Amino acid sequence: MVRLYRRYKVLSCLVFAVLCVVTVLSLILSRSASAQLTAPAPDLLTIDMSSNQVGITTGFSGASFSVFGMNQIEGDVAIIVEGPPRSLVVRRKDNVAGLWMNRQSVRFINIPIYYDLALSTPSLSMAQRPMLEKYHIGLDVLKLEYRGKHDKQSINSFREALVRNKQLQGVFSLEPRKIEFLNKHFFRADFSVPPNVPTGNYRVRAFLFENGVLLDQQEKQLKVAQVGFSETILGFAYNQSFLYAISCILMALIAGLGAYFIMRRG
Amino acid sequence: MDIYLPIAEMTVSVETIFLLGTFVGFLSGVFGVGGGFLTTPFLIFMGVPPAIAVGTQANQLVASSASGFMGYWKKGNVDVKMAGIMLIGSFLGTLFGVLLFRLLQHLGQIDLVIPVLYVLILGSMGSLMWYESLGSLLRKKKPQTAEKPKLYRHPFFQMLPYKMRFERSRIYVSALLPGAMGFLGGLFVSVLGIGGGFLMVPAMIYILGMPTILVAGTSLFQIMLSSIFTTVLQAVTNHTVDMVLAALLISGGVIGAQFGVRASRHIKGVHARVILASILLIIAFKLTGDLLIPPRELYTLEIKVEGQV
Repeated sequence: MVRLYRRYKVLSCLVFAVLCVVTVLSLILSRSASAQLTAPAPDLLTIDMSSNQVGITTGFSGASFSVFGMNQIEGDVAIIVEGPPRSLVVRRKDNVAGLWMNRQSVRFINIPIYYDLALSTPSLSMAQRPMLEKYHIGLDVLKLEYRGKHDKQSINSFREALVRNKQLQGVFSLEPRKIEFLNKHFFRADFSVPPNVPTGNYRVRAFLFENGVLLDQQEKQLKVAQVGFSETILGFAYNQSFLYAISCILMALIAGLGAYFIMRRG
Repeated sequence: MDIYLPIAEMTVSVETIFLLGTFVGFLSGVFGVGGGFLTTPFLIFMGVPPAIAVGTQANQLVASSASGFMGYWKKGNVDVKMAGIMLIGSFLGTLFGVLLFRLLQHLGQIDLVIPVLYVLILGSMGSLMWYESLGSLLRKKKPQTAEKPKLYRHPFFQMLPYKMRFERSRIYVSALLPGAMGFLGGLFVSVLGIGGGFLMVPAMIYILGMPTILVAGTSLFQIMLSSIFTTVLQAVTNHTVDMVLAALLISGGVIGAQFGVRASRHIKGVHARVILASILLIIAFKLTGDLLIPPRELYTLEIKVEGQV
């Protein structure tokens, strides 16, 4: 009995000891694991912009801004400037009885109204295609989703037409801009937007790759909006549209009647 | 100098718009036309969205018709009752036109319908005016007034119900006739951005049998009121009236009209009509070409505004 009891005591002590060790070990392990996950982000990549707003004034004829950045580790950098997503319809003209008129149309959804990018490498060789697709790096990898059923061949020509027309309008980049490295860890990229830049809240995202692996990314907001007189008129037209209409009419009536009285005097 | 249009959300050259306004003002000074047939296609050609071109043009028409109307009003050459009846029709026509415009836009056919209607209207009016003026130029005679068709004597027009007496014009016709003309006028302003005076004037003479002296003033009165209504409707429902664009067009127009009126004193009536007819035909010809010649770019984009079907 006593022996049995002793054995049991030893056994229980052993079990307790093992349990203790496991707990402590697991505690240590888990702590080190969580430390790895939420490591005080080593901020491998930091960017900032010369301005976080593009103000469209009455005399607006395009604008430019620069994105500056620091990279702790040498690697490849990509910067994307992307407008808010919109749906749009692409129509194709066909000859009907001699007249050129719109026939087929495809409705695309979630198409950025503006897209521009800058790269530190001459081409999009910094990562594999799935990675580029995930982060919208490069015009070629933009998904260009559509609604409705269309055969593949015609969809391809509609997609090409979408990109081509957007490029003609100057709201999709023709080729990537250059990211200039001032030294190994400090870079800048100069962007410019055309006079017809669509308004909205833009996202500016930067990515740091090393041998195809994404090390870090950072996002900033860029607001493209009308300011000053233009903004006043726009707000007036939308918020007090009836008063706006009345003032448009008054302006026209005064000008018209003024012209009459000047003419009569002459 | 460039200026940003807050509603059209695009940059245009101030000089171009101002010159366009001046030229159109000049034409309206010489010929007494509104000039919408010139402004609207030109604005669309410049890249202004068709809806904004038409909506803003309605605002511009308020100015040009108001200054023309004042002249006739001072001389008392306006049949207010007739214009009132036309106005009821033109309200309905404008409402219908704004809806029609939206439907056509949704179907993607607005850039077919506008030029086709322009070609039909401008082409036929231009050829008719050319034919008539050339004839009178060659014959060196005044066109015989006795030959004018008196359509208002036609039994069909006499049969129509709701007859009304128009004291000023001294006629007794069905209210449906001026109502229908007003409807058509409202459609013109709201879909095509033109006052349609050049169609309304002959219709009022031949179909209503109105005295010629009252026709121009009454038609201008009707155009003024229906363009006011269109401006309100477009600005409130579609937000397609660009005040900055309208101000540029109007200020150009006011200046152009002064030169036009002065020039008109040195131009013979027949010559003026030949010139106007030629301008109409040139525009019709250009628009026909655009419809028939294979376009360089087959595809067009249209960004959908959120919430729009």
